[in-house]
Amino acid sequence: MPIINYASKEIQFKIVYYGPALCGKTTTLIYIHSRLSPNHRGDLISLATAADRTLFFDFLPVNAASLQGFKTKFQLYTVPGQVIYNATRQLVLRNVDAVVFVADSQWGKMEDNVESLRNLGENLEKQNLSLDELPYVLQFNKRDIPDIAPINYLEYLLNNRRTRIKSFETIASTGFNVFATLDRATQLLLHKFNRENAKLVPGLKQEK
Amino acid sequence: MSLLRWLRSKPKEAASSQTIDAEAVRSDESHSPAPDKVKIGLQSILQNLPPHLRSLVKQQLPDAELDLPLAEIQPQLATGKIAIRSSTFRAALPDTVRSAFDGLESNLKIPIPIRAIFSQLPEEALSRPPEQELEKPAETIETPFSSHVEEDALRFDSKGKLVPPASKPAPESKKPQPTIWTKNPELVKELQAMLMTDETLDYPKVLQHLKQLPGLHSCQLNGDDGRKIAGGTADASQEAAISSLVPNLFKTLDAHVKEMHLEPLETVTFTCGKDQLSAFLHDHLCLTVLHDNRPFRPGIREKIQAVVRQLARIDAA
Repeated sequence: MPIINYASKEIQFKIVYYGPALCGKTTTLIYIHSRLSPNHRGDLISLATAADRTLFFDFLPVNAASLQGFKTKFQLYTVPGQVIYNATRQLVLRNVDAVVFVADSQWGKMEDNVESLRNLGENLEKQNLSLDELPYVLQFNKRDIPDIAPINYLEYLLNNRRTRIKSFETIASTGFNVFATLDRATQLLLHKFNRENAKLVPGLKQEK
Repeated sequence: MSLLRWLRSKPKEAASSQTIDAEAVRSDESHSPAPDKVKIGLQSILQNLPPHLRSLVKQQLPDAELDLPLAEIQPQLATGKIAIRSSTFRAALPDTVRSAFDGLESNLKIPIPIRAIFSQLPEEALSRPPEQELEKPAETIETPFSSHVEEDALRFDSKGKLVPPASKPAPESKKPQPTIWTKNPELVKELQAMLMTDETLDYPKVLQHLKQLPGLHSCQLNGDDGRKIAGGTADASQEAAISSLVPNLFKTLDAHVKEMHLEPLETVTFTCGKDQLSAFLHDHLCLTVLHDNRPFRPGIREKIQAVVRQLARIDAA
């Protein structure tokens, strides 16, 4: 749920990068962080324990899309992909506004992709959220390495919900299509926000 | 008479046509799998076995082609993993190798690599849910990332390969552009003296020299924003972790040290079992070294610190 700060005239959105371990979520975020002007972004900060690798950073663009006079601020998170860190993933998913699911295109990772997507659906359900309503994009990563599954199989495995959503072939290590994916997720959440908040109302979650 | 002749000829024609049909069927069977089976090489399966199953195969086996039932495979496609019953596997084996798998328990499942059979799957095996709708297109909104999408569209081709920047005509003057390594030769000479070398230096060469110090395994130099400058470890994921974690961790610790009214943090060492990681941060440079599980030999830590300070001076000049 977006956070609206009437005092500073900001709306804060949360986008979470989700996916199995080592699929490229961290690499994606490092690339995004490296390409954004330091004036328009905060530090890349890791909220991590011994092996957790959640990354968090603030991003406030100067030329932000203005929604009824409010600046938009985006917080991008990744989750630790290892199976045992489900509690952390649940925490990070709180108040999420959009999800980018990063899949590992390697043949040997298909089962991990399916399990991670199932886990995402399960964790969202605990917050009364669903991928059918949440802005959500698929990122098929590692399209540059050999021994990867074709797109039609990835689509069959992971894009089989009621609505077929947009997917992107990416190479996070070079940045190919990384911003296209993020741009799509951002557009979806802004459209949703506009639909649901035709006029900003005090009833929304806000800070003073 | 003509009728009799006709009647006698009919059965022969029928027989010959049946023979042709039978031959056609056998020919089909020998050249392509029946529609309800997929072919896979035995070696593809064996190479994909987990260690505890591979150990059950006691001998080198020749490759063989197995026909596996699609009915057992297709329902598993949506899980991302396929495994068949050991009984199915044994039944599909040629007689010449079947005995090599006599030890397989009946309740075992044999993993089948999807990539080996994927091209044989019928189109309907990957059919979409019939009620699935396409996401409705919406009006394009300018986002803070839209300009980067346009920039990246120029940097990459459609396959994701980086497009080399358009080559500009060589400038008439052949004067090389100054770099941090040429702008301040005095500072670089001091660094050469520290490393006891006359070699022309750059970041990778400096790290190569540092790696020669006793006990060091690898060195990685990052900016304090996590950007990797030079060096690395043998493990790409470890490199990424160092880039994203170490500089920020160092800065966080430094902030806490300042709150304790102590001198600025210069270096920190983490002992992780038999691994040791030490970080040195000065100005905007962060050097991470992996080294032996013992304290640095006398003078080594100080030398590394001095080198990092000198690199920061060269970088800032």
